[in-house]
Amino acid sequence: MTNTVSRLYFLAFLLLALPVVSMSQSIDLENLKPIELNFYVAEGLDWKGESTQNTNWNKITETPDGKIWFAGGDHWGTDGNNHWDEEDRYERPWGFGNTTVHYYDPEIDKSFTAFELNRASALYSNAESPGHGKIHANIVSDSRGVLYTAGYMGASYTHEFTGQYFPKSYEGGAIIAYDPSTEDVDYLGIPASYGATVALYYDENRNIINGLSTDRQLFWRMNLDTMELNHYEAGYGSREMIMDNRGFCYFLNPFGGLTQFNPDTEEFTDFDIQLPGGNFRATVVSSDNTIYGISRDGFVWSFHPQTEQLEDLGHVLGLPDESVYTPNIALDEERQRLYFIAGNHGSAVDGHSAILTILDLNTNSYHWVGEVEEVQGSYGALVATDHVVYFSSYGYPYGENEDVAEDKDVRRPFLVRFDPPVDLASYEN
Amino acid sequence: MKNFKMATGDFVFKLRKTGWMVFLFVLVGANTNSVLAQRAGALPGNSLVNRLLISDGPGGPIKGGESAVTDMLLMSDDWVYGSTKATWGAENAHLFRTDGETLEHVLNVTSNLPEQTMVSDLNAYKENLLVGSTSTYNEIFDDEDNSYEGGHLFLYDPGTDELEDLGIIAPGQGINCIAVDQNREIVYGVTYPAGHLFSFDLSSKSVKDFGEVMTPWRVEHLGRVSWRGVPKVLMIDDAGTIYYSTYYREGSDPSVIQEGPSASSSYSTKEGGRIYRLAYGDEEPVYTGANIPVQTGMDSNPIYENGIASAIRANDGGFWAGTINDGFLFKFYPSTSTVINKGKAFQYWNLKSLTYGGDGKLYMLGGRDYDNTWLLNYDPGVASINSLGWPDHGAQGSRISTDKKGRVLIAENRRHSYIWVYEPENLNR
Repeated sequence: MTNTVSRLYFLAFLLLALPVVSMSQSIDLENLKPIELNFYVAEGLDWKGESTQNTNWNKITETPDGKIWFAGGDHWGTDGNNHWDEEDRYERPWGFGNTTVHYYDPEIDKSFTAFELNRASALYSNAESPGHGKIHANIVSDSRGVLYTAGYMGASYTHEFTGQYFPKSYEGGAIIAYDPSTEDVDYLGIPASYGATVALYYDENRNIINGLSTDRQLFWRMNLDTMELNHYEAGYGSREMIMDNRGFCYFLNPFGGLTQFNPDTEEFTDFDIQLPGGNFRATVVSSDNTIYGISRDGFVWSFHPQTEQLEDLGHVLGLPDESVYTPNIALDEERQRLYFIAGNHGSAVDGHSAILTILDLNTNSYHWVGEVEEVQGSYGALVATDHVVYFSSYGYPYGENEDVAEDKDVRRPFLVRFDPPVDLASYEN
Repeated sequence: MKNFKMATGDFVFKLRKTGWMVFLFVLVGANTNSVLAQRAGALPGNSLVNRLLISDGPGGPIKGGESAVTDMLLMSDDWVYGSTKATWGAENAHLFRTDGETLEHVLNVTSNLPEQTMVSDLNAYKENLLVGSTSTYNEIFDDEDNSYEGGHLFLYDPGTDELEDLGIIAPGQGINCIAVDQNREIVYGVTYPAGHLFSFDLSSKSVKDFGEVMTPWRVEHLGRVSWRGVPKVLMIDDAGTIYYSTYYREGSDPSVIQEGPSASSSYSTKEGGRIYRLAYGDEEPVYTGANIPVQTGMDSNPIYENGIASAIRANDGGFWAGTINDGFLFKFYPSTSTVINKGKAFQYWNLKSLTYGGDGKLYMLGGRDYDNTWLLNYDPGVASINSLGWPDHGAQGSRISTDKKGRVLIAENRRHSYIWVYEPENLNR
């Protein structure tokens, strides 16, 4: 009896104390080690004998056959691609602003190109009418392995809507379905004319694609049975949307909280919560519908929409006064871990960026694995069924002395593979 | 006056403080050209001196979905009063007021007038009274079994905080717009969706129905139903004559689009943008012979809504007005039935709101909900029409009004609407 009571007290102590652990931890930047991971580069989209691939902002997915799907884009539209001159925009007859979808086969440790988005969406892209310079949305898979994704062009919202010349005439984020088993590509149309798509989820129970366009922060739904398209409103300064396993969607609201969309009643509900760090930049949903998220500045949280329980999981580097831009998060439910590459896209702390981070949800403790060499940004992340962690990234995978690239200025998109240990003791910080 | 909100303490402005550089990088990309592209179209930052959130969030009194602004006007007590409608399943419409620095909740209209989810129009009356009209969701009108009792007229006295219900005008019909004959104390209005012109005598409380002035056509677009063609604006001159635009009919039912080889001929019965008038004492409106400006051929195209979106009295006895279809600014002289098209300074449609700024210029709000929200002006001194820019690429403006300092307030019609305060004097500083 005494033992039982003691255990209960100890359990209560742990429950109370564990959140404090993650809140009180902070990274030791002086002893942070550089680490090298395997990269799988998205090649192709060649011009003048060289790949124009430049970036990668999409979320990634694993199909039932274990393949990992990622993308590369030339970033060549209003965003610009500094490696090429203004003249190249006009000299290149076709393909200005384009992106490709690739897969990595872990069984043979190789990546392949699956399809090209401009061709798939029948978009004749040139300097006057740029195409999908990247994928910003999610690449998602249904239970059969059919993929859905959408196009994006940077700063599409600065264009006019009347077919004026560049940079004003991006046609909009086309939706593509791709069946790897038959290599069949279906172009499903553009749900928000002239608007780039920044988020996409497939609700398999309803056969509906949910998405968010950056222009007007427009939330839309496309019913694949009827091809009926509905427009709603949703976003307030966020590029992220969330869909849980029931098909409910979630958006940032102006109060730094979440607004829920009910797919059956088409009604919105504002939760009376304030997310740590406010504007979130990456999320992942567990099988029990717990949403894990990270803010633009690196604050981690979890929220369960049915119990409305919000938990503050601390700052990704334990440096709450620093803005650590982290647009990726991956969940290993079995091992109860979250993975991040913290510090992206110019966001660095004392010169350190791309810090591979593990949050052990069992102990609420952070483990900082090291600074991933040559990575500049990581936007998509997932934990595969075999516990291997993948990040969809861009940076300088070839280094300075490779023949493939002329110099280190050539930025490339690639998939990063991390094989985490079962035991995290080696990462004690 | 149940609530008081500070202007600059909201969440997004806090974000600016902590993560501005990251924000720029994330939205734009890392090169200088991109930053410039990001700025395209935006109003100069120093010209926007404030931003007020109308919605209070889950705590209310103005909850999410209850802050879409339908009208605003500056009253003699130096406050700008505004009205809202409920959107996306919300239930309450409100009155609020602002001086450009703070925003106060004034009244929950729906709690006073049950079922009325929209204040469709506001007019000033006598010293400092408001006359308002109400309506409800299009989806309710579209339900044959609906039990909606009908839109009300009401009087609101800000001095006593009292609302007087003037009753229902037409059973089962909402009210789309109103105008007040201040001398004869008559309110004119148009019902929705039936499109009947009516008058309401404020002294005798009697209603007169002048019959159908528009056979609206039902449209389902992107999941939303509405009725097009119903006059949105009534103009009234000093003689008490009202003016509005509608469609001209040649006997056949314009709501029926014929099918078959001769279908195009049916469009001739749908010539829109005809300006009609009803003089005091007349029993039937008559065509003035004046047509609103429109691109050739578009006045009879059934896809487009050819009509007046906004109007305001000019100093010379005419009216400034903006069109729905093309977004033209034009001046209408009732005495001669003359229309002068001043053109347009942007590439979008729908010039939906007008106000005089403190600098003597006419300010205009343009763009559909899908478009950028453009602020434009017309300088009568040099007869120049100008495009000024948008407050934010995510903004969805619906109404503008001048405050007591001569600044222009730009209000949204979203679930959580903002008001931007534009200071013309800062434009060139």
